[in-house]
Amino acid sequence: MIEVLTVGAQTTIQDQGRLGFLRYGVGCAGAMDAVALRCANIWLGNDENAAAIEIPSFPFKVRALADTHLAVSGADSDIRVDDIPFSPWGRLALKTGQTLHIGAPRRYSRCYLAVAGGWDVPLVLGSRSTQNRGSFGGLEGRGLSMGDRLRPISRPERSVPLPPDETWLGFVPPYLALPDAAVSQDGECTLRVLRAGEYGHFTEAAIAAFWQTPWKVTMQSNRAGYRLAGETLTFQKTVEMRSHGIVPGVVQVPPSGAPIIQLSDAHTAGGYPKIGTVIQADLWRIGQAPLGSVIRFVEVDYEQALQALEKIEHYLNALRLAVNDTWDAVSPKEQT
Amino acid sequence: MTTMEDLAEIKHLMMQASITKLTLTSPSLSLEIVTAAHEADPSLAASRGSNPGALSDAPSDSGPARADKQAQVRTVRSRHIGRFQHRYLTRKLPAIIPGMRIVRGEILGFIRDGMAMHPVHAESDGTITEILQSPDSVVGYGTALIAYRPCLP
Repeated sequence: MIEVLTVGAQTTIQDQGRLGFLRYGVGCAGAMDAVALRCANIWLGNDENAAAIEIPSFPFKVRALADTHLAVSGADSDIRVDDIPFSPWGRLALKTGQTLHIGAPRRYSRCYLAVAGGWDVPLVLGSRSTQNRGSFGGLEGRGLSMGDRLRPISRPERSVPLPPDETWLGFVPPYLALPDAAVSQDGECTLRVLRAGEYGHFTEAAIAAFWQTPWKVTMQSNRAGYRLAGETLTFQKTVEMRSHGIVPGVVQVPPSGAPIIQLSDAHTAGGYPKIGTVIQADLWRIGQAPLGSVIRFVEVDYEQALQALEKIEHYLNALRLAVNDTWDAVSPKEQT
Repeated sequence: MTTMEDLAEIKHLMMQASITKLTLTSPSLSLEIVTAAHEADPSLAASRGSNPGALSDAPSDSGPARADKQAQVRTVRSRHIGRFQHRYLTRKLPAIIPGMRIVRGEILGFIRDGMAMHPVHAESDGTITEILQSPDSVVGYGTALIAYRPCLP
């Protein structure tokens, strides 16, 4: 069990999302960086959909009220256990009374704190994710507050044990392991995009601007969507559409001409024309794009989108093998 | 914009003031400047008599009584097979340099084995005296990685 000592706004419990309820108007919610969430769960031997704490504001600090195995993934933050510095992207053991401090990221924007077994909050419509719009799921449907206590789901027959004497074990993060996921030296992030339904309704100048100019993530961005600033995208003629279903990744263009990328807490339907859709393999990278950062779009086709997804699965498979090696090295007597 | 000349000036001022570590942090930047203790002005280092870590690294002319108090240099050895990393993957600076104080449990470096990064922990409080392996060198079980002088109780 842990107690939250320091916490900022919008720190919530998230798993991979509440899928299958869009038709009822229930959004997906879920981790903005699902790859980081899955990594943290893999390191701990959890179900990859186990719930973790999504931390978008810093510092974040907890105290262990019992010996606990945790994992920190996502943004490149400074980690401290009590006053001893640790590195990000790893699993660690916290003993009763010790504190874990996660500082402001040097790069990227969200950290994930997972626990062996997953955080024990109620399943609502098949998910433990906090649904901010409906104020349900997660911990009482809200963000975490100072003094909140969270316990892991008990695993009496833990299938994958953790070495008892291990204090920290790190893993290579995806932004280093996946070359096409790297952010350029000047901090730009290039997102791969498929054309969407109303692509042909935009002027040639708008289409050229969409692909060729940089877009800044504005301060009017959150888990629901990232509103971008850049060239004004214009239509060949006024487009009026009925509201229709939308999913995370869709790039809508409202009449203002400033595109919006729909994200985890997006509405389930909308009527703005869609110029493109960020491929699923790159959604985690948007989730890690800080406010004020610059992104660019590059067009890919469906096959390339699937190949990008495969690369992520290969990376996760390599992580699983590495994790299994660490457990294989532990003798049965040492396993806890 | 901080230039190399600025850094040299900062280092000089730190040594004059006997400051061994300076950290500047902002949301988008983190700068840590660490000077080796043995580079510090010996007279200033000796004046910090209440600091056993500084005394243990004082020059040899600091007197026989002080020499008696110096702890033996110990080595931290690898417990894994892999490539020795002086710094974390996303960091530009090494985790440690000679002369740096360390605390028990601190991560001094890493052994990279494929996707896994095994930590090299400090076994006790002390001062780094030498890094024995070059960056990215292949090491095995028991390879001596880092020499350090433990703090005296």
